Amino acid sequence: MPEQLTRRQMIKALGLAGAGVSLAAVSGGNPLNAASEAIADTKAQPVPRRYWWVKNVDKITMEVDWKNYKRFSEWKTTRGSLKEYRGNAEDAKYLKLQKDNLLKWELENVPGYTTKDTALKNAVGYGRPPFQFMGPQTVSTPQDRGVPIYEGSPEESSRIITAALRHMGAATVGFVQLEPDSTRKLIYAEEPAPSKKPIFFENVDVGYEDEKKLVVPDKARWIIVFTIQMSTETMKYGPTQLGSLTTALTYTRMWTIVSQLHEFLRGLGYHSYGPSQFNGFSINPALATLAGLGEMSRLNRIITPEYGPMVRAVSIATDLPLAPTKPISFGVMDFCKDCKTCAEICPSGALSMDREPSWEGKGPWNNGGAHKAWYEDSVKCRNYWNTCGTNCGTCFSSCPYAVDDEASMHKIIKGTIASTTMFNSLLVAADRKAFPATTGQPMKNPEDWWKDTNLAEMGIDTRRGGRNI
Amino acid sequence: MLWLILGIIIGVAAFWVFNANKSGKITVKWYQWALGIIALVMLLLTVENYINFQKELEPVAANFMLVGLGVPALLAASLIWLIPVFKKGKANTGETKVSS
Repeated sequence: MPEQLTRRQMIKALGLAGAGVSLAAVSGGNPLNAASEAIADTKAQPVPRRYWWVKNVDKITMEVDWKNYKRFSEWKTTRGSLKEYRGNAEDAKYLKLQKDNLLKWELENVPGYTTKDTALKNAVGYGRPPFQFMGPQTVSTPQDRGVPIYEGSPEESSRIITAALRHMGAATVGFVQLEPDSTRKLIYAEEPAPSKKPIFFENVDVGYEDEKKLVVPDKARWIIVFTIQMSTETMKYGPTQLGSLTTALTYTRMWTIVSQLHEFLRGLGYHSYGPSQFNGFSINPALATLAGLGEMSRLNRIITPEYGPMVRAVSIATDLPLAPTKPISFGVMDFCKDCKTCAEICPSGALSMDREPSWEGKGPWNNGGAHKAWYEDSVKCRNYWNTCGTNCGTCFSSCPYAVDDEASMHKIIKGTIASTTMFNSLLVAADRKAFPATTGQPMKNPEDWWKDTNLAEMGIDTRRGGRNI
Repeated sequence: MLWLILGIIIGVAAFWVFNANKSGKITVKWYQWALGIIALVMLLLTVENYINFQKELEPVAANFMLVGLGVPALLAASLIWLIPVFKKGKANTGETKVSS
């Protein structure tokens, strides 16, 4: 080692040290990069950033026969017709079982079902503004304020909607153009029970709702579909009351964000149309897939690149012209063929164990026949919901994509899955060792959840996605 | 801060190895460079993933990383020393045989 460093040697040493820092930062995140990217962010971005392994594609990775695809009625799902599907006696039996089990477990202080778990689950369901077909319609319009309505290119409008929704609490945002022969069929033909009102498209300037029908104008040709993050951590305490609180909390947030979005569009001078009841307007996983927010999966729900299945999706239609976003592919459809973790963990055996997705639905609750999916036996699923007393969610929490993306290994694995199917079986085996799940049991001890006072706000990391990629 | 400290340590160590090799104090073969780089990358990945899996509140996955990535990293690192020792031992045995 020389006694004194020359300038050249000093620069070389700094270079090597810098290389070391850079190498170390490969996985840890580089603050210098983040700073330079923050400066670059002042440039308008047409779409939010995605991971490099998320590819835009022209067609969704699920096969759809649009010609034979028919609009579906929401009330035919098990949300609206469960009693009919399982019969009066069976239905009464399951409802009683749910009531009895919840009482028994609360009295017995079963972890996840104790009084504190039940109280919290019930509490976070509070504060939901009512869903309204055209939104609350309370904020001032540009006309009210005496200014012209907002006007911008479709790309600019998509961008401001995305920015607004992210700030309201949405995770990812996409846009679909409604076409009468295809995408418009994803708007329910009839809204949920008990009203079962038909939803029509008419050539009118502004839509409306009366006692017999809901009318969406033809000119409301753009769908805004967005996801809201659920807590991956909290869901791992499912199927208990504690685990299901993240679903309840996410729906509470969804109710608020949908209302705020309606009001934002109204404030810009446009109209919007959405669910008048819970899940009352459109088939949201399908629209989210078309908008490139994720891919359909064995869960018969979307899996997103950023949050896995840990999202809820919702859509509204608007007459504000928007630029559609493209579908994506990141290997989920192929991975699900090899994985089956959710189906094996499912306590009710409701999820498909077939390797390939099918054209045929499992029952009248599925809109089968014109798209290839891993259809679920919703009645079996609902029966188990009544047995465990909650909405279970173990299929979501056991999914290998249900991970917080802190560790770089997640991104390496997701990138590998997106690039090749060669390692799928190996990765599934490793996932089951690293994230062990047992049928019908929480993945973690619910009592431990209450001991941690440092959990993230709402159990979610809002830095994920977009800027943090 | 951890990454800054690790980066400085690695940078200084690399600087020393590079110069010592150049001045003839030590001899680093091509496979030792390769093994060293592989071990270093695996070790950094192990540290990063262990810390972040703990942040994710996933201790089982964190330990899985220690075993699945950390042990192979240490094995790769140990080979940097073991291969020359093994080679030397083999050569000495061969010499003994010839001389006897």
